[in-house]
Amino acid sequence: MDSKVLEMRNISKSFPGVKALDDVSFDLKAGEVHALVGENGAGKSTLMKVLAGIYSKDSGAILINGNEVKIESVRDAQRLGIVMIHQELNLMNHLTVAENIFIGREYKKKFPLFLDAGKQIKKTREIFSELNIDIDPTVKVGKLTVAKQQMVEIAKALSYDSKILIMDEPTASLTDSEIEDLFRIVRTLKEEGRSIIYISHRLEELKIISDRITVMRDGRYIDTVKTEEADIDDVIKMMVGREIFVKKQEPFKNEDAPVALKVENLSAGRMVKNVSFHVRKGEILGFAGLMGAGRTEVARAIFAAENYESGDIYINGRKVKIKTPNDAVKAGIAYLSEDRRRYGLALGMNVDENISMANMKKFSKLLFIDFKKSFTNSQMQREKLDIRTPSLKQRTKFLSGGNQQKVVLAKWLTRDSEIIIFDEPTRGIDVGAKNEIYKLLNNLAQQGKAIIVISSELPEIIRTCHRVLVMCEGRITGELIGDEIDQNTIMQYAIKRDINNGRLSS
Amino acid sequence: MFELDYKEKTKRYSGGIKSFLSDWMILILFIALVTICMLTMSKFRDPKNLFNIIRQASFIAIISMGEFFVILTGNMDMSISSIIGMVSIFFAGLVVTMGLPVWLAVLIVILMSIIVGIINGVLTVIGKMPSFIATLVVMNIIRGFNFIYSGGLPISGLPEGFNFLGAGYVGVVPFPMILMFIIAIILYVFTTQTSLGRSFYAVGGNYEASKLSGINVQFVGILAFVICAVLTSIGALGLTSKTLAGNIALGDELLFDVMTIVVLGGTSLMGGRGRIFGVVIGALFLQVISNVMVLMSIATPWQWVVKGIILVTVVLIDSNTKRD
Repeated sequence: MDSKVLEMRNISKSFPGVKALDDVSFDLKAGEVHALVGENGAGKSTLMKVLAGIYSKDSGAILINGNEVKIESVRDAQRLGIVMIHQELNLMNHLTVAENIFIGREYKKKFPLFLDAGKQIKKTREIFSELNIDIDPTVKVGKLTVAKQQMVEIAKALSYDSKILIMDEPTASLTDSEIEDLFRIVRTLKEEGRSIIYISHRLEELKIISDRITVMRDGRYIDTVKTEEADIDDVIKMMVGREIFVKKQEPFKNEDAPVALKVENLSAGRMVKNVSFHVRKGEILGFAGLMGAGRTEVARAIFAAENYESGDIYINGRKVKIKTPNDAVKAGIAYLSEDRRRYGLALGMNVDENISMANMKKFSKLLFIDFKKSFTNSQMQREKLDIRTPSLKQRTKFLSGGNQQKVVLAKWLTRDSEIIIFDEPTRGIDVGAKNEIYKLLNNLAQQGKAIIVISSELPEIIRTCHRVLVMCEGRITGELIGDEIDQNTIMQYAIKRDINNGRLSS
Repeated sequence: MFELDYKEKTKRYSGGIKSFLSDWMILILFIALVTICMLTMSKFRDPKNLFNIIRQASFIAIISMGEFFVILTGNMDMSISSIIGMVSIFFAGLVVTMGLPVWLAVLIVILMSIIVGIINGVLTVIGKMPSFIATLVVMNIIRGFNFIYSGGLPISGLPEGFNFLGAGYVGVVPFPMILMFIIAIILYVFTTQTSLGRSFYAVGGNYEASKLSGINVQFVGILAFVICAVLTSIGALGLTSKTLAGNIALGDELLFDVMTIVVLGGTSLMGGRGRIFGVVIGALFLQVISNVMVLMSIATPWQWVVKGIILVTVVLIDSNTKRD
């Protein structure tokens, strides 16, 4: 039982500018569920993508049953019995369950080589009965719930006769009873001697389903513990790492400043559940949490970029109706998306054109553009924000990430936005430029703007925010002020678990 | 910080060269092509021939400038070929059969094209149909009406004076050439100096960001189709005036040329990039090539092959260099 089916030795992998995996080792026993945990960007997914043949490793070795193997493509991995079930399911909604399972390797009749639909359906039924799943193989996948679709993915993986299944956040979008079903299937797989690598943020689940837990951080292997001996606080500490010294934000002095934005009972889709909060003028409010916690969705719901179902929004104490992004702009809200290139900039246009884009009326005389006025403003913003560009005529696609971010900010400042939401303000920005953005955030707050910072980087949150809201699965699970803000505490709230219980609850 | 400055300067340098080339490539090629033809072909450098090229290019250039706006906003108008037929046949019908004065007939056909433009725009922008399909459908419907109205036969007998539009001269300069440059200059000012003109670049450059910036993206999108239809109808009137007859098949082979010209002129098929004078040069470029092929007695089918190869080449370059 203790034989290792898989060993990954000293795996390293770099992307341009980032060392994603640094000498990581990992192993897996037959019939084991081995959990892989870590913060966003710890390298879990990268490691698993190397194993599944999606990325190629730079160095290191992969051994299956003690023999070194080459995995250069997904097909190689499949041949070796390794299949990854991605968080976003890769099924074709318009095809039936059986068609999806056998896509690309359909059963054919000997003559005249037509598809043998009957055999496909029969095979699908066999796999389902083995797993004790009740799904009609002839129904279209699009009609199934997410949980059932996931089971189809698992069945598909088994149809390759996979010995190693990688599940990336399999329970992220399942209800409690669906999770139980999933666990039942996972146990069946275990009994058959198959091994499962289980990536999850939900430590409470791991206690129920996993045998061992491996922690990764910053692309490095940290430790592996037996689940039954694991203590949740230790696991969290390992995930967060040693207390790196982060200069904390000064406490917020102006406690009586008027509330600029108040949100009450905001709900939108599955990702935003009954969220209420406020932010004062001059305050920097942080939204922390793990990927998929619903932070961006809150921002997009406020900005009406996504529909929200219920909830009230007050600006300067006045209730407002925001139905389109344009309403939000008029109400003085600016949203700087994490995806600057998609939602922020017209990359083919120059710095000046981008800055004046939301302010055409301001810079027009009759129909004609007042170039002088627009240029003067752009020049002023360029100096104020220290936008480094050889000229205002430079196309924004040639600017560095940090300077692109400043151009988007300049656009909104020209529009006199009073509430500014930064979604991952320093994503894709190098370290030096990050500090400038932080300084800028402070300056804006001192000018009385209300700032919301959404960030997955805890040091960033600690460094910039006066107050932090932690989200988990669409809800606000904690609020931290001043001294309470530290990495461990944020992590505690960000991970779904029974907070009253020091150990992993089961 | 010092390092950052340095990095940006080098970036500007390479970016500058690249964008300089992609912006003016067509001009450089055009000058090279004309120079070679001037040096090697005596028939080509005959001033009569040169004016002839410009005259023939003029109306296609005007139509291409219309298509330019649609492509600039990231869409495509396939209906221009039957708009040309529509303008030609209905104009001739109104003047010859119904005896309306020319100015009134012009007004009516331009109004008709505006309506077609609005339909194209609404289907695409508000109806969210792919513009390719929406305008293809509109193309066929108009073609149907053209046939129903005319029975497929040309209507000849337009007044001689109308010939001036397509074949007239002001001194030694062909009138179509003057018209083309006047329109080009107006559109140049419009696209570069007005806020509305700039919106076309913004919408085509990044639809989402434009919307989030409060630009009326739907209005801009529809207006592009209307501008296209109106310029197409002006071009169609010019083409009609050359033969003094309304002909529903007048535009049937032009769609391909127009697409080639717009892309040749440096307009990105993904939207957001392009210049009016690029389109003008694109039109002259294609006309020079046609002219040279005629002078060399290359058969029409082979001309299609050559033009096809040109379009493929240009689009290949466009799709592989202008992505971000």
